[in-house]
Amino acid sequence: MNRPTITYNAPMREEDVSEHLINTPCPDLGPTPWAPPPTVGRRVAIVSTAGLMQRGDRPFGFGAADYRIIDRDDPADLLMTHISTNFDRTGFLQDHEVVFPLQRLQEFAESGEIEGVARYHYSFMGATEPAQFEPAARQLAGAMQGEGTNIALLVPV
Amino acid sequence: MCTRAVSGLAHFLESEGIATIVLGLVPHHVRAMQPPRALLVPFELGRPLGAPHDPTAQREVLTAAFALLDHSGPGPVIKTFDTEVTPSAINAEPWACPVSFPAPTKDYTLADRISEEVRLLQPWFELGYRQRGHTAADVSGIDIEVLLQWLARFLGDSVPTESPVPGRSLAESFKLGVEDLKAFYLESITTQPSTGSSVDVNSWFWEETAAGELLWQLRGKLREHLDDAIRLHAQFTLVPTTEVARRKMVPQ
Repeated sequence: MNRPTITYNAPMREEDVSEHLINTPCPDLGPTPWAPPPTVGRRVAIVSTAGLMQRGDRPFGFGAADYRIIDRDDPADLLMTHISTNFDRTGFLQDHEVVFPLQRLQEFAESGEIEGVARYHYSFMGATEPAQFEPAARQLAGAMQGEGTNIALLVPV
Repeated sequence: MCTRAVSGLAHFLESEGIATIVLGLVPHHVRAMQPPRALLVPFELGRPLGAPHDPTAQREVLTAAFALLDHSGPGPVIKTFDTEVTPSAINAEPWACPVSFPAPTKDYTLADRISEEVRLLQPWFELGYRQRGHTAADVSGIDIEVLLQWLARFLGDSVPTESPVPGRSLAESFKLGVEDLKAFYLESITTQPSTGSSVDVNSWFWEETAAGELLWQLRGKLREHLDDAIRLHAQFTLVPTTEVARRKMVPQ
């Protein structure tokens, strides 16, 4: 495969990562789990940590460990209420696909590269300590399976 | 912090039977947390799929991400997005905002200056709204002119103690209002044909606009506010740490 060429504005190369980020402790969540991915019938949902919500939902606040549901079929505006100010928002303001690639996923489904795109997608707010997401995430897995979703594309910001 | 968050979520979802793919913006966090599958992408924080309005490149990222599903395990399977990155042509020359704001004068308060900036940016904001069909600059539900006057009051002697929106806390209205103000400026400026890079645009907002100056001043003043959440916002969510570090390095 040809290596893609991408024009970027300000890269996050390893040498550019700030001391603050490097020194942020990461929790030990135990051995890496493994769920064998399906080879056919792949149905994908986006799970974002960008603090996304649809207009009318509750904004995220400090320490939020719950999630918001983003309905593919609901035309309500997509908004970002992440509490952090330490990342670029101009990309998202210009093109939601930079953070929430729903249209790209639908193109993958149309071309047959995946079986389908879930109706429901989800967003947490990533400034919260990861371990605090556990109850909501385990509950969310059941909801996703109930809809037939078997792949989660986890997108940070 | 979000790369830590998605890595943690991958652990929890995968252990419940959902196959996961993490896009990793901070390689150190992915390697420390060892999610089952991760694609390290070389983009700045806030742009996990790369540049806006580049669907070809966005598809390349997703193609590489889905290729991780072909590994038979066990994990972690951590790959780097194999790109040949080229510096943006936009960065080749210094960028200057094409909208000229009047120089500060003694007769103008900070709120007056912001009001004037809003007036000058308004046509670009409206064009952006027509082109995109949505805006993130109205989440607080407070009109932009009312909003900037309300935020400016936090610098004066009669600091607001109540939310202007019934049923919402003071701190929540404050945070949403600040984000609305920033979104108004950033949506306006990125609508212009000669938009600079994200670094250019963010530097412009924080160093050249009266709105940025308002947030800088609020950051200093509100660390003494009676409301705990307002103090937290002042300390952590008003001004990016990169801008704070930059200002410390440059003599004022």
